[in-house]
Amino acid sequence: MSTETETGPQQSPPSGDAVVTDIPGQTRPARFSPDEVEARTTAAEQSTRPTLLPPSAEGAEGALAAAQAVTATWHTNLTVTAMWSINETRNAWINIQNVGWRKIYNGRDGAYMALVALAGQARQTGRATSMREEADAMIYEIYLW
Amino acid sequence: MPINQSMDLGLLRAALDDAGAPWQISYTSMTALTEEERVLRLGVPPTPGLDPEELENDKESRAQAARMATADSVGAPAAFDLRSAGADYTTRVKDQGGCGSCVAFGVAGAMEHVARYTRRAAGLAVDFSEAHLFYCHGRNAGARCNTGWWPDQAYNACRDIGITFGDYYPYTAGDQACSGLNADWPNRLARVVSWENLNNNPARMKEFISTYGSITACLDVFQDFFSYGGGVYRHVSGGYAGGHCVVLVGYDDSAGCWIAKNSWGRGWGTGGYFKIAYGECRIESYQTIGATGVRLRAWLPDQQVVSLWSNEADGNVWTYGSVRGWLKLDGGNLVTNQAMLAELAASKAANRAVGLFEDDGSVQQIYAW
Repeated sequence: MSTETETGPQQSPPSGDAVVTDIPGQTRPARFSPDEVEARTTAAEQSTRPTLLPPSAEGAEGALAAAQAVTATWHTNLTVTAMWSINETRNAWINIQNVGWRKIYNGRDGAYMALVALAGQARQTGRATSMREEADAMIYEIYLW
Repeated sequence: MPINQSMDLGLLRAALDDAGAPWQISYTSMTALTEEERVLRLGVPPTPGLDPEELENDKESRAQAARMATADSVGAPAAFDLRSAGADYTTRVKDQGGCGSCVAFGVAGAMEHVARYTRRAAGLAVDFSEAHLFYCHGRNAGARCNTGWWPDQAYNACRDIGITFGDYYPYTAGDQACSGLNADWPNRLARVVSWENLNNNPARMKEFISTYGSITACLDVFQDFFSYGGGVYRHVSGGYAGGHCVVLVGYDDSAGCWIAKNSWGRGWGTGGYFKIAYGECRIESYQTIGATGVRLRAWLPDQQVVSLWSNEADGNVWTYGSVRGWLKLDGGNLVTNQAMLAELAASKAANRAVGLFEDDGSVQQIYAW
């Protein structure tokens, strides 16, 4: 097992309401073994394609209700208020409006890059997002509306 | 088959009055034609071995079966009309003109509707080429304007080869040796995913219509049908004229009828549409076919990027286009997918349109304007 450590973001967004004592950033296990990654990602994957519809589309509410019926936590129609990253492998965090800091899923390079890109676009454009958070407090799925 | 004498419309009016006026007579796009010209606007061969005199012998039992097979019994809504299924998913009414190519219109029209409804994309620009279907695939199978064709053979061709869009082979009435087909047709193509024979299964017909949007059905045409102008059609008067193929776009269990789109232009029926009572004219049993989906390979019209999505699976990035809905990015590798995502994100941020080349639900090429 690797002994590399990872750190979370140390600051709140300038306009945020969070207080310093709430800042994540404690030392964390750096990486998972390939077996652990496989087990975690296999258990967490819920869909192979998007199931929600844009808020303006017909049937959007029904699709959201169906998504929320599963075990994951959904953060819907919220903006990304800040981002953080560090020179460690696949370690980037986002600050979600009214939610706080959450780590972006770090199991695979391709998924990590796509999710970070979507979060970055959300931050840049101020557009609403819907995000799926799993029990490990990482963001596994992002809709950029 | 011998051609009937034209009907006396006065006698038809009287017959309709005697029958309680189930439908209205009208001066239609067919009225001014000769009986020979009208018959040429049909196009399904008679069922082999079936005597035209016996076509209506079991009409009541067929109607009863269709009424008993309620949509509710298969979990479908009691009434469905693709023209008002949350949106109008139908494409325009066309005119086959003086050629027995109704099968091509009945199949291509159903494919257009299925392509739109299964994607919930009412604005999807689909206008498939009846000319490609009839003058190329049909011709290869021996079909001509004066012989007609069969829907099952047309569906096989649409599944195995596919048909191009109307702008790559525009339709004109009259036999052609596949002469107008654009050479680039394989890059502008619609293919049926799979099809199912729904003959004599009205419950399944209703299930297919409400699930996929439309199906193809054939019916026996009697002379009074040419003068239909509204209401629920039942054969009241006139002799057998031939077999015909249409698109079923809905049904209504309370009214006991199917809703259909014809290919005789908007000047016939109710803007090109008609209703026909359950059990009439072998509408459930002549030849009835439903498709489970339509694959597209084509440049889509420029559209806005409404949404972008990804999850924990590698290379699993999707975009929601304003006229197309969800499409997967298919760059073939992670780096290309990431590049596509960057381009789409830039267009989305700038609120600019994108051009997408779709192949079977995935994006293979992008113009980010």
